[in-house]
Amino acid sequence: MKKFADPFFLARAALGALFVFSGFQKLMQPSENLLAVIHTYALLPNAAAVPFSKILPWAEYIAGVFLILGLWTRLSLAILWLSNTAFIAALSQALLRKLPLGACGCFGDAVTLSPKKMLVVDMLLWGVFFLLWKWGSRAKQPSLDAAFDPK
Amino acid sequence: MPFKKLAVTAAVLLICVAAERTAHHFYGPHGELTRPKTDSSRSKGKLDAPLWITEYMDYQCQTCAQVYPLLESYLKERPGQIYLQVKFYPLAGHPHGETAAVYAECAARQRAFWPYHETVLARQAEWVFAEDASPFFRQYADEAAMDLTELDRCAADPATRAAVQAEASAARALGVRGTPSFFIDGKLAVGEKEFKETMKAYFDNKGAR
Repeated sequence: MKKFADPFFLARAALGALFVFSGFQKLMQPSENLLAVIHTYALLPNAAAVPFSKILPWAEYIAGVFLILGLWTRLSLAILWLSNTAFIAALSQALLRKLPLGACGCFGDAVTLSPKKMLVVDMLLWGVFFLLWKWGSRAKQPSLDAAFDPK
Repeated sequence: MPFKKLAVTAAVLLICVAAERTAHHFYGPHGELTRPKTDSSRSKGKLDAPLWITEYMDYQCQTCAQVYPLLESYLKERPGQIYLQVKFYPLAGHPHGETAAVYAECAARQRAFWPYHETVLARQAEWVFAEDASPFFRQYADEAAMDLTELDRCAADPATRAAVQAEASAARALGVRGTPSFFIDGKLAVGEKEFKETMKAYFDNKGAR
């Protein structure tokens, strides 16, 4: 029971839950809504934005579940950290270019945060990702990986 | 790679997909928007035009105001080919959106929807930051030669507001979450860019046939 109170496990599970929520919210509505949000960042051409709007919610949801369970922990962490870094880059360039963003659309329409607030949240999350990556072996306890992978 | 781990991975993936599909069934968009069968006072073009567009809009939305001249140009350039219907989806973060829609519904009941609609969008900057935007909406109605006594009665009637809210709820059930959202021949396109892309694809495809 004690290992479930470990701060690394709690941080891993909370991070996973956050991305499950984020992905799930987006999956419960037509992908065209996310596509419109992606277009407001004026980064991707339509040919890339359309598949991205369909893949991103699934990636967040599945990798989030895997992170909570500790299944392919390192890979899930890498995928979510990469998407978190991409969000930070997209938000920063949009703010620098003074693009009319409105709400960031990061959590569908369940939570509406201003782009500046979301940037702060994303940067804090980046720090959590960094800690989990650096102390990966501790973050892997308890996990399904620990049950399957050779010691 | 241990077989057990791959088997567990496959099982988790299957459970994830099943959970998403089940949740989608209960909480996802329901139904589809079909071609209007009867004409409405918030429409333009012939009801039997080859292409029908339903726009869900919010008067306080900047993009909705930007996209209106574009819609007009499509209607002018392709007479008889497009049927346009306007529906309301006032956004929660826009305090005047719902009131503007209530007045627009009242304008529609007086057969003066289009001049009111055009004025409210064209002069959005005048009222968008006002504490009370109603005097502006009354002024635009006056300019459109509407009966102001009837307008005030209609705008104060809770049933009018309820009708606007019901329209927004129906849109939400269809998956509308932002404005402007267009159903172009039943296919959803959100925002100006996607609207342009879908219209281009439709007319390019039609030209190729």
